[in-house]
Amino acid sequence: MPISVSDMQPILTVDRIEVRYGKVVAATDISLVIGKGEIVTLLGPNGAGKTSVLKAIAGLVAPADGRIAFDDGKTVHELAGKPGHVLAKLGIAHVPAQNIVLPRMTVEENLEVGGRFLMSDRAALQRSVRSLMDRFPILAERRTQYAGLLSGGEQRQLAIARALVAKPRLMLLDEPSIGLAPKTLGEIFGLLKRINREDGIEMLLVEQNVVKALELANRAYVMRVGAMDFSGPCEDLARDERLANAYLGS
Amino acid sequence: MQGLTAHFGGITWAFVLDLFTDYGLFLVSALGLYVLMSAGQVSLGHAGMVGIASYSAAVLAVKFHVPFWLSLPLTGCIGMVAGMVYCYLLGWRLSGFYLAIGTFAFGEMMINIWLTSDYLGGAIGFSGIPLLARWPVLLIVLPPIFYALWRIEHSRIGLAFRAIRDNETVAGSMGINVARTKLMAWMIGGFITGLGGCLHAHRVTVITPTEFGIYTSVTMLLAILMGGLRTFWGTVLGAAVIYFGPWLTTTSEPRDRLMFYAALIVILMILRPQGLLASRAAR
Amino acid sequence: MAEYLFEQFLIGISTGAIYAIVAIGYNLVFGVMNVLNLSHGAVMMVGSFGVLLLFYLGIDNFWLAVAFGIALALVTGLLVERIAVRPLKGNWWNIKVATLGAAMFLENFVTRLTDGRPMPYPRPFKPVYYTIVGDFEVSNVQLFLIACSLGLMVAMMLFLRHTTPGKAIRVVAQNPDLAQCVGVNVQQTMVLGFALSAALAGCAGILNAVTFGSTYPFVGQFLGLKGLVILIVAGIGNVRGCLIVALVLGVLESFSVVAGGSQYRDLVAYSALVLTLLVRPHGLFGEEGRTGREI
Repeated sequence: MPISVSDMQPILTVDRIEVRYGKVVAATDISLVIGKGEIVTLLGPNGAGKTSVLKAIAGLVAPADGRIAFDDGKTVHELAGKPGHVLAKLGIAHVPAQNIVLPRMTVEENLEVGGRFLMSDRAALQRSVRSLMDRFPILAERRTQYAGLLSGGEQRQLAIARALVAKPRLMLLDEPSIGLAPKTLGEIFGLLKRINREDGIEMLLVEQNVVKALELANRAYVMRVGAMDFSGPCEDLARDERLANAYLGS
Repeated sequence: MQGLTAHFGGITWAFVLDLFTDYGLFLVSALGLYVLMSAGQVSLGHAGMVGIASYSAAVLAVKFHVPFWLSLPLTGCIGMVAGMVYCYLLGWRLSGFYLAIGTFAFGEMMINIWLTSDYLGGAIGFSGIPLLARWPVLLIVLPPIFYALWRIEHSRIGLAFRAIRDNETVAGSMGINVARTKLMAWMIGGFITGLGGCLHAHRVTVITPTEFGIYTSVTMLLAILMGGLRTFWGTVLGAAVIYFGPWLTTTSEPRDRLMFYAALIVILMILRPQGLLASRAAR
Repeated sequence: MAEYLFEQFLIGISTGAIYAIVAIGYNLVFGVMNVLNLSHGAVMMVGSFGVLLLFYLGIDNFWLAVAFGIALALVTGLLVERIAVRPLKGNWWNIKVATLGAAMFLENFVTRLTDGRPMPYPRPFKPVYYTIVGDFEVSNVQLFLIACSLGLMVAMMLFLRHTTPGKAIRVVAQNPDLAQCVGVNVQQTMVLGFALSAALAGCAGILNAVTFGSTYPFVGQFLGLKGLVILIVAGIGNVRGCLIVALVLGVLESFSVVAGGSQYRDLVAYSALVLTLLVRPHGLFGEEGRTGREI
């Protein structure tokens, strides 16, 4: 299916990548684009390889084939094959699905860690941590508690806040809805929307909760076992009957 | 060629026979450990169990004058009871690394008990055990052990061992009684180890506590890791590599031998991570 | 009697502090790489012999020799990491066997060089005895050893808590994937953890040799096993727990010598280990979540 990219300025271009673990192919021939200011969601059933694609973009696994290009506003970087910490320095913040906080560090330490290895200016780091605590009052309240003792929703907020410390360009979010109560889920998704608007950070969102994801995102990609199946604006996806039946369970 | 002749020049048939007998005795104890390992019961203190059997055999022979052919099965049974104790105390409670460390600590504890016991000869050792375990004994003892292991390997109990080694939870959900299977492994392994300990005592005639320490345990463990866990023949081969390897590697200087041997272990681990005789999925 | 007990207490504290350094060394490598490095004891031995090597070469300066010994231990540790750990790609059983092979190699190599006899060890300075109260005496060497060991421990804890590389080690220990996401170079941090562990091993080896006035090629086996006992009793991944358990064990050991004789020394340590495993399989300060499966 053709993707109309003529009217957008892509900051991330994934071009036909393949991810494999040894001999097992997790995803193949995956292409996607994230334009300026966009929230893009990557949907699909369990085991379709969404997380593998996200990990490849974040540098946690090296793609076996294909290109990933990232435009940070000044230069275009080739990402494929570079390790995760290098990508983090380029401004790509990845929030995994599980084990998202450092349990044996305090909330404040967790936030500090988010910028400690990425920012050389210690004072700027302190300012950034403080402003994030203003923005996430619950974290300020819990700042001396061990992160492992926070509730699921609080941990998710902490992980998102930590990803923001070093002022990233692009956020990769793996199932931010996982394990959250409906009310908390609404809060988190509202938060993501605000971050996108106020900080101008683009997002790639892998989700199981299709309804919520389609509400939040501008465009969607759908994967079927290991390959891309659909891409387009979210409204089109919601209207596509065949896909709706297959994936959205309506 | 001349170097080779010089290297092997002093070797007589009697010496080769001795070497093979020592190998055979080592193999019996190692096979006991193989049974445990095949059921995922990693022991880092197996020499301690051998020691329990050896000291039992020594006491039976010297203090109670029990004849060798009666003492051998009796020690096997003592080994089996020891295996049950190990299983109750450690096997059922710990797994993986903690089990390895627990068995190690248990072995070291036994050594220190033997060291402090005057009845058992303390640090000087227990002496006066008759030299009876010569090569013909091995010809009688080893074939039944091989047969038994072969039968176990091709039976339901062997399958159960492999299943709990791979994944205890899954094995349990498939209807395998994990606790009982572990107990079986400890009892069978303990029995074979008991035989090995008895033979050892009647071979060296003097046993000292420290010979049942971590180094002996690790040597046995290495024999099994070398061979892989697919079949007990792997252990037979692995024990041969461990036992004869040092003799073949280099010169007559024993320290050089150990050095090259240690290097060999590292290289083997890099080149054959799954053991010499193992399928790829074995570990 | 009281002064004898006091002396034993001091000996207990100083050996306990050395045990603690050993256990922290294991902990560092285990923390960042999730593997148990069984060559740790041998690296200690190499450190203690490094000091002697410099004296043998004719350089008669204790402090220079100590620096050289630590450096030698560090290099040895890094070589072990490169040869016997990294090529095995995280396979924990094989790493244990390979590092044990490396330890055997080092021990027999040094035996070959030195004939295996215990070697007399230099002292940093002439022992002077100070009287505290009545008959309670303490020597400057004893004080120096205790100060060194405890100082090292405190320095290590401060390093892990407050410096950027120290934080990197803690982050990798808790979650290597997340560490990458926040910009930590995981590979580099692993090597750093290994290097620190080896340097600590060198220090422990030298401190131990100064304490006993001699060293021998297999000294690392005894020390290494004690460190391992403490690691397990304290619970893997717990630095402060290691220090407490090590000091308690050191004092317990030396009092058991008073009570029963030197043969009870190790019995105490290993019985404590068995008991701990039976009562609290994850160690006194350990966490349930950390199973030994991956080690």
